[in-house]
Parts: sequence; structure tokens; C-alpha cells
Amino acid sequence: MNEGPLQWQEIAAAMEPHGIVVEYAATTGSTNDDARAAAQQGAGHGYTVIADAQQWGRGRRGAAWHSPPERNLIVSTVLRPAMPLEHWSRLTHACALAVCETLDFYSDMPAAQIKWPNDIYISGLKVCGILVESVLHARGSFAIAGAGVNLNLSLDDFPPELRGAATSVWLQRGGQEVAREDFAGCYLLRLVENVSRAVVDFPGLMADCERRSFLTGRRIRLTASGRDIEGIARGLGPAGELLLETAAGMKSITSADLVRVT
Amino acid sequence: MDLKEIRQIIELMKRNDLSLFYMEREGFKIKLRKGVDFEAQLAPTPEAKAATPPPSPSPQVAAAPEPAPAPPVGTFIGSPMVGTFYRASGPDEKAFVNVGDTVDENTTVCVIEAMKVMNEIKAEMRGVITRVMVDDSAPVQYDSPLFEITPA
Repeated sequence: MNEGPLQWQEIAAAMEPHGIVVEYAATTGSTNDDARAAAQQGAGHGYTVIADAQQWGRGRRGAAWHSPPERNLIVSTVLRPAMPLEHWSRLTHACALAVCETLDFYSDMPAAQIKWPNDIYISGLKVCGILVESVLHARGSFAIAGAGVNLNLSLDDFPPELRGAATSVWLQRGGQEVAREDFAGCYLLRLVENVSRAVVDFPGLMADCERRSFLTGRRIRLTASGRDIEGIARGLGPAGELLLETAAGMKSITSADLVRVT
Repeated sequence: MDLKEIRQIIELMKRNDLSLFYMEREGFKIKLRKGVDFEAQLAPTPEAKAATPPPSPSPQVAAAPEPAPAPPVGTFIGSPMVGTFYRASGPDEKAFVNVGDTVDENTTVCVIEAMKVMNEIKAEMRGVITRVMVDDSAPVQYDSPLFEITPA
């Protein structure tokens, strides 16, 4: 596989006409932290940090995420959506759909699906995780949409314990390499567009997420507010929540941990 | 009933230290409750705004609200959204703030998670935290009081 640093200037030049500023770090602590620091200094909507390696990449609530250097897309984008704060939970869906739609361009592999709300799966295996963080402040709120997408990884690149749980675009395409620069550019354009859709046409955005829902129809178990709940996923509600059919009736889940297919 | 009359009722409630006023006439109901934002609780529509959150369209697993302690009186930091309340950035991390801590506009006091968006909430004022109103990992509603604060 061709390794080598990301040709980030190509991405920056391609994004400039769209008003998206792209910065690059060969190695950084966390692109979400870098984007947050830039936002605090006034970086605008669409400002993006891409890294080739991350020292302490993380998932939700501090879960670690590992990535060999120069193989994947590690990207964080500052978002300043023009909508009330109570709707900012829509950003996870906007970001997840952007990753899926970018993966859709690669027609030589199975379709990507969204495992509600923030993981992307292909062939039942995780290919991307998303972490959206926001800082809500009277003097200017912003969000950071972070995504880590497994692109050019072979099976040997995964630690043994992940081989039955995670995959890469390279593996799904039968050994076809992905031009990471192209992937990054397509993703950023989809992301910015989907954030606008989250503002003006959230039902349409959710319909697109629903079509790609990995969990719908499956029996799952999850933890919500410290309680274990089991049921069959029945799609998504109007605010993007997970609808779960349980023995006690239909539940609407807005936050959950450890969502597992049983 | 016009605004003037409602104001008079509020004055009566204040003078007699009443926390709740409820009146029903044909085609008209009003419920006044003294709390976080006294004026905001005025319900101009026939269906008076209840003190507890309205039932959501489908039963919510996050719902099951514990009976509220005493109706909150004082200054509070409220939740800007429906979600899950976290006092720290991770399971093994220190709480952002504790009772007795002095905070200012820029102090992060908690995280509210909604649909896996981790939202950092700022105190937005100077003061001392006097009470944490919600348990860690508990569901919160829009505008739920999260912390009681004595403004400096």
C-alpha cells in the first residue's frame, strides 16, 4: 500500500472556493481539540483540521481510538449552525450521513449504514466513528464534528481483537486503495451541506439516515440512564431518536450506551 | 382576564408567600407557580403550562422523572436542551464543579449529551455553586435547573 503524508494542500485548494479553510498536522494530540482551540480564537463555520496521526484520539466519553499513521482520514470541523441550541443534537446525524454519502461514491463495495447515531458500518463491521462536541456559550456557541474513517487498512493493521468488529474501505473494495485527498474533499462538502439541511430540512435529512439505518429491524440491547433495555429497533423518531419496541411498549431513546445487536 | 389582573394575582402570591395559584373558568385556565423564572411560568393559553414537562409523543425511556424536590426558588443554571447530564468529561474524570466552587462566565459546569453530541455548558455568570440539582448520568429536560448558584 502506498503510504505517505496526505497531500493536504490539494484539499485546501479544492475547498477554498467553498469557503472551507483546511489546516493540517502530521501528528497531533486530537484534531477535535485543535479545531476547538481554533474556534475559540474565532475560526468560522467549516474550518477543518486534518491529521495523519493522532496521539490521543478519542470517542465518546473518553473512549480511546487508535489509527496507524497516514492510512485513514482523521478530521475535525468547526460548525456554527444557525439554529437554536436545542437542535444541535441534529449535528451527529448530519455528520454521519456525510460520511455515508461519501462512502456511497465507491460503488465497488457494499453500501455503508449508520449504526444509530454515530457509527458507520459496512458489511456489519465498523468503518468510522464520529464524535461531535459543542461548547455552548452566550458569547458564541460552536460545535466540532470529528470523524475517524478507516480507509487504507489491511487486516494486519487491525489489532487481533478488532478483526471481527472493524473494517476498512480498502478491505471492502477488495484491496483497492482510496485517494484520501478525494475522500476528504467529498466528505467536507457533504458535511457542510448536511448541516444546512439539518437547519432547513431535518425531516429530509432523517429520511436519508433512516434509509441507511443499520439497527432497524434488529433485536438490540442498550444501556440508557443506567438501565439495560432490550427490544427491536423500529426506526428513528422525528427528532432523530431511536425507536425501540420493548416488552413494555415503544420507547424513544435519545441517549444510550453500549448499543449491541443481540 | 388581562395582564393587569394576572400581575395582581402575582402580587397577592408574593405577599402571602404562595407558591402555586390555579384557577379555572369556562374556556379559561391559569396556573401560576413560583419558581426559577416566575414570569415565564405565566401561561397565556387556555392550557396552562404545567410545572412538569409535558408528556412526549412516545413514552421516553429517559423520562421517569423523580418527583421534584421543592419547587426551585433562586438562581439556577438551566439545561439548554433535552439530554443526559454529566458532571465530568469521562467516567474516571473529576467533576467540572462542586458545591462551594466559585465560577465565572467561562467556567464549564457540566456536559449535556443529546444524540451523542457532547455539549459543554458554561456557567454564564459569576457566583458560587450552592447545589447540584441533578444526579450524574440522569436525563434532563429543556430548561431543567442543573445547578443552584449564588451570584457574586
